[in-house]
Amino acid sequence: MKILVIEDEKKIANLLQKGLREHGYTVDLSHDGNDGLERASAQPYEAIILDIMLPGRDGLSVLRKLRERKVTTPVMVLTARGEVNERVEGLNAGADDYLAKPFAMDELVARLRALMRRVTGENISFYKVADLSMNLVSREVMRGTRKIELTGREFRLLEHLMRSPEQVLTRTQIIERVWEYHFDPGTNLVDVYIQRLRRKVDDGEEVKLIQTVRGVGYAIKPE
Amino acid sequence: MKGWPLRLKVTLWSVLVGALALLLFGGVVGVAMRRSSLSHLDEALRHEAKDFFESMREHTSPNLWKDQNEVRELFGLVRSLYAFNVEQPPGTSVYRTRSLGNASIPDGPDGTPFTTTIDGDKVRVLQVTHNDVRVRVAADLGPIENIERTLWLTYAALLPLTLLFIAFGGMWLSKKALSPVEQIAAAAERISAQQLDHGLPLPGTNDEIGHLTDVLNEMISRIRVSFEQARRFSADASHELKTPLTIIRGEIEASLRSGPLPPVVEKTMLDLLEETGRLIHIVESLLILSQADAGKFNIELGPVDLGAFMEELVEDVEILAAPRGITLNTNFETGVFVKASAQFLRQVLLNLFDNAVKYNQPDGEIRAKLVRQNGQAIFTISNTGANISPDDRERIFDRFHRADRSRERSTGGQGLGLSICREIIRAHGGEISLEPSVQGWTCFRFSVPLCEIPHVTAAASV
Repeated sequence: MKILVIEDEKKIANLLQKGLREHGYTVDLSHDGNDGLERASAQPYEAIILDIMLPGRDGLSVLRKLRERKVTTPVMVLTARGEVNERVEGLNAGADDYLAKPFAMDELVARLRALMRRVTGENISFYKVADLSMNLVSREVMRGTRKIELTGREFRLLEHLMRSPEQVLTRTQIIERVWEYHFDPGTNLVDVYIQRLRRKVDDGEEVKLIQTVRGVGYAIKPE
Repeated sequence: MKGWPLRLKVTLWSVLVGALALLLFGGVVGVAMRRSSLSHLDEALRHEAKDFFESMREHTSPNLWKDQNEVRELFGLVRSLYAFNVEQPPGTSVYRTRSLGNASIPDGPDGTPFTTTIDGDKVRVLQVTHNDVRVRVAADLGPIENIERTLWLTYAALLPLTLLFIAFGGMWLSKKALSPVEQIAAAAERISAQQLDHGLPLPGTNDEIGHLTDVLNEMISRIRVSFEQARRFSADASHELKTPLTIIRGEIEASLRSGPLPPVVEKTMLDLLEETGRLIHIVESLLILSQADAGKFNIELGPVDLGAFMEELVEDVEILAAPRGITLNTNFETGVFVKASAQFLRQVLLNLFDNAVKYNQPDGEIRAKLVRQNGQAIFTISNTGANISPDDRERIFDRFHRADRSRERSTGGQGLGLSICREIIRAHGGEISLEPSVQGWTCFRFSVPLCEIPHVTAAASV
């Protein structure tokens, strides 16, 4: 699974490389628009992560050129601006998804996975932590052999926790990703939903999966 | 006078100046006319006196004044317009024109005409003494005074008419002169911070108005430049901040993933991650505000069923309100569709609901209402709690303004929430306001134009 990262900011490129490697991807780095375009055309990649502001040739132009050359590799565009018209422009130029800086690594990985799934037609998506399993397609959640019924928001919350098991998600991160609220509406909301989720997932089980990291946030892992 | 419109002032001044000029003109004309009439009359009197003495020379008879025929012959030479009084020697009246009756012409200085009255009639008199004969010739001033009176009456009748004419003229002139100024004012009013690059339309003339327009346009472009700089600075600053923030966040996340960390370090890292998140919010908020300032805050709008949209939020709000014993009463009209960006509208609503919870009193109440009115969707949200001070009321939508600093900090606000709400609502073509305070209640209200109910209502769900 090879991914090309075209990003001139070396530190960000390295972070992306590190983060993607942890998820088992092989990563090639390019720090220049023209170089990136040549590499992307020369060999097949699973996906391309493309920054908009690049020396040599800007990201949108790289993208257009790639599509002209019939390179259909899924492209995730990164931008620091996050303006609507820029997003529309990016998608018009042939981008498959769009992520605004500053992004969270696991958000990027999740979106990238979804992107590749969409392109390869692979439609089985499955998370598993201990005996808790979640099917993203059938939206079925099982604890061992027990089926768990979740509301839409509870499902999304559990999905985000299971996406990166053993990793602490802060309340702000949860609010941002599950509720898509781009400000802090206080912490009760998350706490209340975690309680509900706990009741459904962990009640009556010997091994508790949803952990509170006091004062910080939540993580999913076997006790 | 201060508050009067310039047009009225110009009219009044022109009437005043006109009246003064007319009075001065009338006075000067009157005096000059009287002088000229008198000097003509005096000339005639001198002429008569001279004629008289020339005729006297031909009639030297000692019985002259006793012979009526002689006298008639003597005075037949002169015109009967004048009255004569002859004394010989001076002091002894020998002849008096019959028209004088019993009255005599009063004494006066020799050779200098003077004005006096005979039997109440005003007359002009010239007295001349030659040898032992003294003659006084008198002329009636009546005809001259009649002419003068007619003149003054005409003048008095014409004065108000003329002044009225001047008033209308002044009004017309000032209107004509001021209309370009009013156009400039109207054009300037249309110029807001977002349209500074337009400037004022040039009148195409080289006069004072053209000059004024030029000067104003120069000023507007100076404002634009400094405004532009300030805006670009905050846009660039927030843009430039995003790269290091991405790196900081990425590095913290990478460290947290790198394996089991000592709990103290992990706690610190997570705190840092939290604070970085907060910083990112601020930077994003500033970017939104600078885009709004530049008039480039474009958001994608689509039909949103506001009532249904809000029902969704209410579940969250109830969770936020429950720990403080706050009750939530809602009354949402159904089928209220607006053209909106669901993401941004959610931000506004949550911000308002969040404030209504945060600034509420324990066991308080929140009332939220959505109605349709005059083509607008009107949302009001009220909460119980201490009233906002008048000083804060004015500044509540200002950036970085916080009504209660100590409390706000503990709840993590940055004082940007309401100013962003305002920009978002404006980008939707609406207005948000803090309603007049009712004791113990705080109420915010916003309105957004309604849109047609879409045919495929399913597409409008959020």
